Amino acid sequence: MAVPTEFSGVVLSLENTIYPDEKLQETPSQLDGLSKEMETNLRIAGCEYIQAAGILLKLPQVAMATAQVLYQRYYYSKSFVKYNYEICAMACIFLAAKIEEHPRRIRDVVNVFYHIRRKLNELPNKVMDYMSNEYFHKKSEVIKAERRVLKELGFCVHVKHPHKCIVTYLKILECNDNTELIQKAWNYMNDSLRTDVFMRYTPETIACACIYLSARQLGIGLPSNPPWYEVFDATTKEMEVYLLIVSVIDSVDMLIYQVKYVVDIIAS
Amino acid sequence: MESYEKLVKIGEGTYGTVYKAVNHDTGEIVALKKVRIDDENEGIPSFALREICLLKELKHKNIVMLYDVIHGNKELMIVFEYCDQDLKRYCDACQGKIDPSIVQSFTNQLLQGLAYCHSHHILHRDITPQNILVTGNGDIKLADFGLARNFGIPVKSFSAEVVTLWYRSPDVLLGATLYDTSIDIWSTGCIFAELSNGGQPLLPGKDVADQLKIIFKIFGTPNEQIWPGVSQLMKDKDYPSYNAMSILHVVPNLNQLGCDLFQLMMVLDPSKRCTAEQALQHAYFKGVSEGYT
Repeated sequence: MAVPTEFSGVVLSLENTIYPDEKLQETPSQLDGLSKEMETNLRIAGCEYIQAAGILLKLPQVAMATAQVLYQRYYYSKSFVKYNYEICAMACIFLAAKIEEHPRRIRDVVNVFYHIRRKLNELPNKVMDYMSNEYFHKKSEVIKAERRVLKELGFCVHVKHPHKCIVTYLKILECNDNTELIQKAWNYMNDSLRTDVFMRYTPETIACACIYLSARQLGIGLPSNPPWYEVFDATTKEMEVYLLIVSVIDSVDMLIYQVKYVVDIIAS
Repeated sequence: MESYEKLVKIGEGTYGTVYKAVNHDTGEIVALKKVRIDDENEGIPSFALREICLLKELKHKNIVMLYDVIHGNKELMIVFEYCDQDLKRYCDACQGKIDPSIVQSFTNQLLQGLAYCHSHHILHRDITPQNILVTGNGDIKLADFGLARNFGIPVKSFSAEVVTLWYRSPDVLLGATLYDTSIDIWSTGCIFAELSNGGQPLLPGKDVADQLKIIFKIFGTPNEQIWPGVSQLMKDKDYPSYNAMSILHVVPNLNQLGCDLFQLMMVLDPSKRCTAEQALQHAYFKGVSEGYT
């Protein structure tokens, strides 16, 4: 019997794909001459778009989270210079809605993005003309982008999210009554989706880091001898957690004004 | 795409057409599933998406192997391992008589494939004879993962429209939207009985109400004692009250151990139904043979 073809060399598993450091350092966009700062901004902007569109499309948070991870992963294979970030964000939320079993019509996705863009440009509300060339063009672009994302990621589009880990871990730590702690950890998690931590760490590690950060902020003591997080995952090294925390804090600080910006638009 | 030559159309799947084809590079016979994608519809169908995502992660001798996905201009070609026929056609060809050792072997292989799926947190959700393939060597392969889903992620409710009616478990028929691996076990139990009865479907209901009636007639109408919480599911409708039938009339060709296993798989309360792993440990499978001997 013939050996089954490997899918463009992608390693398959139900676990999330963790990229090596080299791949995270030298991105295709930077090789195309895009500055690191600009790339980070485009990553955040795309994720904000996805979050805002997801709310307007009444999707559950898990669909937005999946879409954001797909979006981030895609741009470690392809360049922002060659592939439009807005189209890709549309394709990712369209695809993630299907993956998470809450499919949305492509027409609604196109229209919601159109709406957000008009808001950003402070134009009055208007529904896109479904017979227009503009609409047909956008729609066909999104469908093409959806296939590109699938091809590039080798159909590895199941994302394991740390949300559940957070809840389980807090239960084991007997902190599951502390709603403030849960909410804070949850928020850290959702914020960190705008960064590349999901390409760097396992969901278990991310969950531990979010709890660690929140507990420290709220001044809640957790077992430290041995450190509590070692119980949950053998690979959760203190150093790893530390690095993660730093990157979360950095990106959250940097994020705040951008998040506010788009959220305000949605609220209006 | 050039290396595959279509030989003959095998059938129409849940989406797109399936062909028997030959790979000219290797000489291997494969099944090609063609999925049309055009700009007029909603991009890649979710059926195809799920099937590809999940099958890529499942590698087991009792699960159909996905070899490759070829991206065409207006279509996707999914390349599967080729199997001669599905279980339905196999049963039809048997003309009402299936050897007990085949019943045992097929059920065992089916459960092995299922146990593997479940251990990878994947529900098949559509186990029917049409979705089970039989090779020339008597190997059983689970196929058609278009309705399957990964249940590792937290999900509030699943779609209640799963599994072809005859193989749908009573909890799903009653509208339960939170279900687990037990729904696949119910379907497998139905097929176990169908095989032992020479290919006669066990529960051929006409619609949801009729399906429930047939189930209750055989296994008895459930109540709070045997299935805590069922009254909540049954509150919208009146169901006639039946007593369970003797299992000997339901599966007359199964031996004592077979009947016992069958009953463990067909418990009305999903939380008390046995798991695939437990079923495989059952004494009925002692000395089971792999494929034809």
